[in-house]
Amino acid sequence: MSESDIVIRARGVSQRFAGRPALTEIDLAVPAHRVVGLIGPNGAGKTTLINRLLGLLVGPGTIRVLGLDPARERHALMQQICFIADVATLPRWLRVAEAIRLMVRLHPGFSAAVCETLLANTDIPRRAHIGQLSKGMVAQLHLVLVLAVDARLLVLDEPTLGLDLLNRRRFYDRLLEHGRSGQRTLLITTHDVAEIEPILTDVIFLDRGRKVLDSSMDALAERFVEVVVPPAVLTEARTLEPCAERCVRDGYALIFDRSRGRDLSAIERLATARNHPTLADLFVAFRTQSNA
Amino acid sequence: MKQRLRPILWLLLREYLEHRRLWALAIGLGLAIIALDLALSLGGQAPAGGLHVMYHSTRALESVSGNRTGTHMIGSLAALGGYDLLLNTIAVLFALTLAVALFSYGLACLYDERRDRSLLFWKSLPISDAQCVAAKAITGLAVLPLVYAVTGLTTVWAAWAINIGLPMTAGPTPPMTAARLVGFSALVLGVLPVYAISLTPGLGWLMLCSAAVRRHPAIIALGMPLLCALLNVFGLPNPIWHWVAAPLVPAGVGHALQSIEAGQAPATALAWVYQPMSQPDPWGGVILGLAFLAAATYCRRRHAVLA
Repeated sequence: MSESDIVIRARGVSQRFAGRPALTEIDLAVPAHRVVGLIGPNGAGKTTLINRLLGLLVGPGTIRVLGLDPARERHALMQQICFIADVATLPRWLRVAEAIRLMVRLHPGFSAAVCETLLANTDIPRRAHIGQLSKGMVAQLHLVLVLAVDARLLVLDEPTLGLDLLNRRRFYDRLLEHGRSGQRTLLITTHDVAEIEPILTDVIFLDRGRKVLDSSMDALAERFVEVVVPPAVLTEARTLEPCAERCVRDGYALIFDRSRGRDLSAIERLATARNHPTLADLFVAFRTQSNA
Repeated sequence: MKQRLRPILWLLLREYLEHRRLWALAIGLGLAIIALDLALSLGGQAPAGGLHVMYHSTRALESVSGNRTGTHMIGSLAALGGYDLLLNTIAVLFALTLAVALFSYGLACLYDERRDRSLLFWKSLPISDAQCVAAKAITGLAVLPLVYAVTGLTTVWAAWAINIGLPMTAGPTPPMTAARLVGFSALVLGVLPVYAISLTPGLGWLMLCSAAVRRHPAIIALGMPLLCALLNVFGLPNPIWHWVAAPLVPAGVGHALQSIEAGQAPATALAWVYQPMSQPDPWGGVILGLAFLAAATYCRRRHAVLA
């Protein structure tokens, strides 16, 4: 992969707040046209990393986003990227129509026509103040505004935090439908791992400021396997050092890492089911391992 | 350069939309004065032309305060002449309302976007912190005073036209001539550039407090000058009064108003206001104000992730 195919390149990115490490030596290489999930628990450093990538924070390490230094060339960078930093950051005093008008004037990549098309599929009233809209509508409106920008990189930091299930689903459906068009790369952080899993091409796990996994979803599917075994063979299965185990209806689900070189054929023969582990299960497995 | 300036123009639209209550306040005040003037004129209750606004105001004041001060005020006001009083009343009302609007705007303009987290939305657009702060400073230094001046003058002209046009309101004093009103209008508009210069340190200080203080910026914004004033009692210098508070009313305005009342040309009156600009003091204040604005820009950049 050539350097020009890399949208985000970070080397040795660290950050400390009041002497405590928030990020430790993070290296990243996010290729173009990918949908990357940045996943981690509260305090893992996701938002800090996003802020470093967007030039909202400065600190040790080198970062290039679309070939630009976010701290020094933020203005040029913001013309090519869009981000939703959190839910409910749209100004409450703006009317919907005024927000579109301002975006047209302030963002050279914003298309009013695209915005109108996207907005037509919602029930958001144009004349309403944003403060009068429901939380779900505000999230939808914000997504419409950023999707109408012809940006090469779209960064979403916990965009659905606090929304109900229906609104979260609507948000990701719209993102899936329109967000991957053109030359766009998506970087998403969220707690709702299960909801974004179907749209991800790559995943990065962060834990306590450290990167614990950086892989494509295809590679993950090849590397990890989840087998469900009856209680009678649990002891035998444990000798193969699973990454994680949990109790399920038919017995125990165990996740194995094929890269460890263990012969799993015997246990796979005894298993009652064989699946690809979900991201949530993998994340718990990595968390458990790093705690051990 | 042009590309850097264009967003500032559109950020002025943002300021208009965000602080529309301040524009509405000026228009509402003007409409209220005109409506009151018209109602009292048509009602024929006025003792004398333009004096009636002051008359009823002081009567209301008297009934609220429960003393007889108002009666004495009416007596002394009558001696000045109704139309001059009306004009002065409107000018003072608009000046006081502008002061309140500027104080409110200066303290809120950078604080509110942190409080409601909309700062993160503005940070997602290709506009710099310097452009945002510049647009806010232009709004406070030029746009707000211009809007209040134009609205105030429109109100003065409308009130003048009402008093000229309705014969029943003819009072004991002759109406102010249009020429004098033109002179007054020219003075008000001509003084705006000087006002912007005088206001720079004061507004810069308020915007710095708005950008830097985590809670209750008004406490720091007013507390620091009060502390300096207290130190001044013990003989220590009070730079905040000298650089920030004292220039809020530009030197020479009083002389300029007297000059207009004496029937002199607007250029002569304006000379009183522009003459202090040849001294270093106003420009020192501008430098201090710009330093405050630069510090506010730095704080806005630093506080992005603390919102």
